[in-house]
This record gives sequence, structure tokens and C-alpha cells, in this order.
Amino acid sequence: MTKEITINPVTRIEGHGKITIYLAEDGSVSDAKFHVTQLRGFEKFAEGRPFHEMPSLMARICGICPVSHLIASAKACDALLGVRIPPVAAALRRVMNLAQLAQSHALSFFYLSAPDLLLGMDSDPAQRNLFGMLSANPQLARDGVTLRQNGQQIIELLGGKRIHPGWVVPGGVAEPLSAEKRDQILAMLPNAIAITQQAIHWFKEQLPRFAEEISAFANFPTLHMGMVDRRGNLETYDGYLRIVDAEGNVVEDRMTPEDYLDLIEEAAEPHSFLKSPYYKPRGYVDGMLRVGPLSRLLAANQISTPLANAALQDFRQIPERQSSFYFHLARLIEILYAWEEIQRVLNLPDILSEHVRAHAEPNAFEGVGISEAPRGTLMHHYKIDKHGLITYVNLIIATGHNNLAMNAGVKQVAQRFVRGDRLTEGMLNRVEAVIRTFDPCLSCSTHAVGQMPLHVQLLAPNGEVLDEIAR
Amino acid sequence: MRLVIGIGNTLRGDDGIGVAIAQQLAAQHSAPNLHVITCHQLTPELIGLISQAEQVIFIDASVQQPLGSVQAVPLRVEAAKELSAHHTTPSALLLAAKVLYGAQPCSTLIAVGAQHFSYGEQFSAPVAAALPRAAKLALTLLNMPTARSGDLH
Repeated sequence: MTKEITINPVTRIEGHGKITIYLAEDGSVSDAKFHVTQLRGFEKFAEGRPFHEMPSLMARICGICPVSHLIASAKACDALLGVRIPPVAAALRRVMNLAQLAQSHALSFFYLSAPDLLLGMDSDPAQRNLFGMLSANPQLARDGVTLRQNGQQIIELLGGKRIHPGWVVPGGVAEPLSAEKRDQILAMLPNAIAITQQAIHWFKEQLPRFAEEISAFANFPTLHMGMVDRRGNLETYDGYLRIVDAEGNVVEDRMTPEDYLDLIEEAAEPHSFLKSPYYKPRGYVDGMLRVGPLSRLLAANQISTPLANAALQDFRQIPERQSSFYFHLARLIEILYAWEEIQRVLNLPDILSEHVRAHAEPNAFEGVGISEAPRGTLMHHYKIDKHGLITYVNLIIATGHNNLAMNAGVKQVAQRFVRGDRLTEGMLNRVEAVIRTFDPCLSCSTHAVGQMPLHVQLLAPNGEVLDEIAR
Repeated sequence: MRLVIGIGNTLRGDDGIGVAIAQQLAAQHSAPNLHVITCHQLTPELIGLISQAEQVIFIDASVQQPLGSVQAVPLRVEAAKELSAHHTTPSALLLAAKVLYGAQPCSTLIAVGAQHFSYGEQFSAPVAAALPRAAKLALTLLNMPTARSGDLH
């Protein structure tokens, strides 16, 4: 008799999710599915709006990563205007995108995943939360507070507010940077860099405790996609799309935003509102991709900043670096990169230039904007009519790119840790934790409101619900 | 530093009252050590700011009291239940500030009874009427003069 386990809701991720685990007659796991159960429909209700409203509208997709949507949307609008935005505007957008990446990664690592890493996958769930972490390692908790605060403060200093800033506009940014704000940001960075280095050191010390998780947390070969600069180095704001295979061979390189439809096709599956993009030339599902910090590090040749690059070279020595467990380490390395790169950009001689916006009427009926959001490659594609009104929107969100890999990862973890005759909370936590490594943002990827509880169901072959956990 | 945190979603009717009160305080009253912020919901990074304050006033809408009523509720860390990455309570943040930084600011929640949370930026009449009373209460708690603003009564 097949049995089924459902985890619903999945906790400590952004949005709402459900996991169903199907058991075979012998009690082993035959399949597992990650379901995303909401739909918001931003692609449809933006139709008819003036294109210049898009950055502000799209930022409302998410309260965690509004900046990512602002950036990708503004870039799509730049393409509609047909302008090359002032270099300082691009530099300032880059700083805001990096601050967003750092604060989002800090949320994922220190608030959502550190309780598992610090207290263990089998620890008392009543303690395995932020309160438990405060008691067990207050310094780690303080570091998380500081890093997230730093990222938020940089966004606020640039954009006027932490959430949904309206500073990024089609053609550039609305206001130049003042010397006072630049100096405030620069003053935060040495401490932020030191804290991040400590966190990397702390995480590496924990690794021996998680050998089993490393081996089973979505640890399989896939393609990886990320942006790189013209030298092939890690890029997050404005570069080329690169896809590498599991061996690191470059499959696609120097692809521009306009090429995305040649690379990516989207599939819809009956068990989820979250679409499943894949690498078009290899078909569904062989074209399974991963994106995000791990994939960006696997796709890039190097990192342009010294401390993060040294951390990357260490990371490259890890044999099982394909394991999604290493998303955590990749996140920390990218936080380090963010602080270093912000430091470099803010020390550019013309960074206080007042020429930060290009003005134009629409010069194209179609525009694509791509940037690297914390969770991976974010694609905004718009079409407008002769009045500048939106007629078509296609959004491919980082979490969507990872959907096929998350499903395969849930199945791999369930097959390793779940047995129908002896369900434990720790087993189910691992099933959740593999999802958490991807740091999915379901608010974004279903275009869903709010935080993400998880519902896990265990189903028998006849569909009978044998067990379920909801948090 | 004295810290005022207005909490709410300004696009959901009465839920935005905490933000409106905080914004009115910031616009009409300044003091060198008064820091006013607004947020959709409380998140853990506020712990750092709270730890630097000697006094914290949270202002929020409440469905647990009569529509349009205004209450000042002293906050106790013992009441803290859960500290979530997305949504948490004033007491939880205060407990975290105490555990992590040894900070114990004098803390109060000003709660405004609210019931209408449909989409829109308008408050229901009882909540709109409560705004000046709640702002006046905040000024009293902050030990700031209340007569400077003509619309506070």
C-alpha cells in the first residue's frame, strides 16, 4: 500500500508551501513533491498600466526582496526607453542591489537556517528557532542582527526607506548620493566584513556535523545559471548570462537579456502554481537548472574582490560543492563580496555626480531586464503599446528556476531520511531544510502574500493520509 | 534615544493607524534624541535599534479592544512567545534586546482599537478620531509638550 506524508506548511521560508511524500508498499519513499499553493497574478494585473509605474508596482511583489524587482523592472524600462543610463546611476543601483543581496542572505542564514545549523536537525523544535539561537549563541544572533541592519540601512540611505523605496526609476535613479550618506555607508563596512568572515569560519566548523545532510541535500548534477561580467567574474547587476554543467563546462556564455527566450522555457505542473523553467535546448526535465548563490559561484571564474575571491577559491576545494547544503556557504561568500564591492563602488571618484538619470520617451515596444536577485537570476520582460501602456508581462523568478531541483531535492532527502514506519520530527525537518537551502521566495515566484508555513503530508498508495504535520 | 515605532500596512484601512500616528509625531515634533520609524511589521533587525533606546513606544492597531479606543499597555518581556524572522511582537523584540545586549528600555504599546482592514488608505471614522488622542498620549509618555500642535486635543 502506498503511503503519503504531507508537510504543510513549510516553515522558515518566504511564503507558503506544502510537501507531499508518497510511500511505497514497503514503506520506502517512492516520490515527493513540493507544492506552492498560492497565485497572485502580477503578470496579468499590470496589463494596462503605464510602463513607468512598473518598478513601483513590481516591487510590491515582495516585502523581502523588493529591491531586486525594482532593479530588474527598471532595467526592462530602460530598454523600453532605449537609453543607456548614466554610469553613476548604474553604480548606485549596483550598490542598492548588493545591499539587498546582503540583507536577504543574512536573513536566510542567520534567522532561517542558523537554528538548524546551531542546534541540530534533531533538536527540540520548540527550541529550534530564533529564541533558541539567542540562548545558544548570542554572538551569532547579534551578528545576524548587525548584518541585516547594515543591509537595510544602506537601502534606506539610498532609497529613503527600507522597504519599497521609489528611488530606482526608469532611466537611472531619482537622487544622487550625498557625501554624508556615502560616508555613513562606508563607516559600516569594515565591521560588516569582519562579522561575515567570522560567520564563514563558524559555518565551516559546523560542517563535520552535517556530513549526511551534505550528501543528500539536493546533491546531484544539474546545470547552473548566473550572471558574469565580460571577464567571466561574478556579477549581480549587469552582465551576461552564463550556464555551466555539473563539471563546470560552459554550456552557454555571453548571452544577453534579449536572448533569454532562447535559453529558458517554462513548464507548468499540475501539483503547483509555481512554474518550472528549464534550459530549453535540453528539454523538460533534463534541462533542470539551479540558480542563486551556489550556482553563481559555480558559474563564475572568479570574484573581483580579494577577500570573497579567496573564500571562493577555498570553496572550490570542496568535493561535494554541488550539494545544495553549500548554498549556505555560498550565501556568506556573497555577503562578503557585497560589502567589498560596495566599498569599491563608493570610493569611485565620480560617485557623487549629480548626473544620475537619463530622460526619454519610449523608443521600443519591448524590453527585457535581468539582474541577480539574492535567490538567483531574475527576469522581467515587458511589452507596451504606442501609448506606453503595458500589454504583456513575463516574470521568471529565481525560485521558479530552482523548482525542478527543489522537487528532486525533496525526493532525495525524503528517500534518505524518511521511513514510513518510524516518522520523526527530525526527518521531516530535514525535508523542510533542503527547501530552506534554496531560500525560496514564494511571494515572488507565485507573484503569494506573507510568510511561508509548511504542510507535510504522508500518503498511502491508495491516497490515504497517514500522517501530517502543519506549522 | 527615545524610539517610536509605528506599525501597520497603510494600504489596509485602519491597519495603517500606527504608521499615521508615528508620521504625525515625526512631522510635528522634533527633539534631538527622538527617533521615529514606521514599518509594515516588526522584524528582528529592529533589535539593534531597540537596544540603543532608553524608551520605546510601539504604536499599532488592535482588534482586541473597542473600535476607536486608545490604550497604553506597558510591555513586559515575560510575555514574549515567538521570535519569527517575518513577524514578531514588541515583547519578543524586547526580550531579544535584553538577552543580546542587556538593554531594558522603558517600553509601552499604544494600541488603537480597529476593525476595518479592507483595501484603502482611509481610516474608519472612530479610528480617524482616535489619531489625535493617541498622538497626544504618545507625547505624554515621551514627556514632550502636547500643546505645540493645533490638531492635538
